[in-house]
Amino acid sequence: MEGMTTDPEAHGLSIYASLEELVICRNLNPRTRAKTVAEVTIAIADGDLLHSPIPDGMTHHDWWTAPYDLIPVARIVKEGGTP
Amino acid sequence: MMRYESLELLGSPFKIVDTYVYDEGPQTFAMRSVGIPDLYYFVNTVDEDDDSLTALSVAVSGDRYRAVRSGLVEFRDAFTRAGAQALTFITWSWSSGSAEPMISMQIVSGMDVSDDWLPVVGVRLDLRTDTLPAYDEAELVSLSQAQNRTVFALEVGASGRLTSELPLRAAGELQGFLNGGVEALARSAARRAKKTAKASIRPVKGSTQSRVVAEFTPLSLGTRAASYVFVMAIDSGGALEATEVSAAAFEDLNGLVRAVNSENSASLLAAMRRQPARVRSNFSHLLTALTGIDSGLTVAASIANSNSIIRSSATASQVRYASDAIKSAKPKLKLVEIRRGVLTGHILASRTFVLTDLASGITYRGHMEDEAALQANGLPVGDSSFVSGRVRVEIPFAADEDESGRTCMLETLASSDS
Repeated sequence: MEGMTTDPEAHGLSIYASLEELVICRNLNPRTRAKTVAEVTIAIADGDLLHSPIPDGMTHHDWWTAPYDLIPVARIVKEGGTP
Repeated sequence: MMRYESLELLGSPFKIVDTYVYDEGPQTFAMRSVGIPDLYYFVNTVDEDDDSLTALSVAVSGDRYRAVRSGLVEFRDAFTRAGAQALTFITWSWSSGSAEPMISMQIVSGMDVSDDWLPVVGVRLDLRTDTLPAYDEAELVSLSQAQNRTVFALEVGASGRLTSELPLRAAGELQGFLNGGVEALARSAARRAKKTAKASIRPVKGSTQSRVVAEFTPLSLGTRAASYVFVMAIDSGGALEATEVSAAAFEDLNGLVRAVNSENSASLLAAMRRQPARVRSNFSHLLTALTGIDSGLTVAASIANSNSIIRSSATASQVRYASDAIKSAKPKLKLVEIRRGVLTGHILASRTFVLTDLASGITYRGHMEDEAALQANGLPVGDSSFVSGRVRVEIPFAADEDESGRTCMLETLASSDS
């Protein structure tokens, strides 16, 4: 997907500002429930953020990381498979 | 991306109406049948490997869809308590060399679905959902035209309510105070109209009310969403509606709501002062009832034969501000000197009294100040206990001026000769 700069789906990461909202959305779906939840702190230099609320997630954002393959420092707050 | 819209389930083709979880495509979503009204599906992808994807779908009615969507019903229950033949496993399998997947479907029972493939217990969607027919303001004009009478609506929204519902007490209060307010506004408008166009008002024999007002009765026509809308009409008892009265009454009501919207306590109180005490009282109670459910309001009316709508709105915070301003407005004080009255009763322990002014026939009930209590001590009570005294009457800004709205304090009391 490298180079598809005009396609937001190519780079956007879904993130939530609220852990509570994220956990509700995650627990609706068995596949997403298996995923681990991590907390990241985003600085201005880390890319572009767009507030993109969805029906069940008013704190949902899309994050276009800079560089596109940024691997941010994260802290695991919920292991995969735990409700 | 999967083409869920063309899945060969009952009601195909479909339109996705809600996406709850999205990860490179909808993973948890609702879709509606294009061809069969009131048929919805909740779909949840449950398993995936390199060659296949499995989803669980459940067919639900529109009512069930809205109950799950609003959070009244747990999301898991949509699947585990599915109707007969309503739950289907759908699997897309890709074989090497083929771009198009092979799709297989299997109807299952909720009991047969592994716990790993269900939403977590207790998780609910949490979305505002209309569970009543949608409110369309144009309906007011259409109804008004068809029924040849004024049709009006009060729109409110109780905070924290995700479906079209309202606590019964609040619903009763709102309708009651709106009814009282509209009737009082009509009376006031009829009095004004009588002064300017006597011909249009026909007095009722034996009554000081005009016939127009006697036959001016708000009716409930139904409720709509969202958030909660009362639709009402004016019943003029078979007579032609006096539209000059209804137009003036609703213009006055809109004026009051606009004054609430102004967030200016001085102009609000000035607008209230222009109305009779009964209007002030009902409007104030209406605002208090709205404050109780943390709601704003919109009032819209289509006056008979007008083909148009008058409308005004105020937000919940404006309603709260106005309600507080009215409650803190200076009350009306009146000192009543009673030269000759009858002390019907008093209780020293609770410092309460009942005293009738023989000159006006008005009975005052309330509390005694220290001096009056001392003077009352030892005085007889009853039909022949003649007294004089002074009563301080306090009428809150938005209270009825009758006995129910006022408070009385007996300042002085003395026996007088019979």
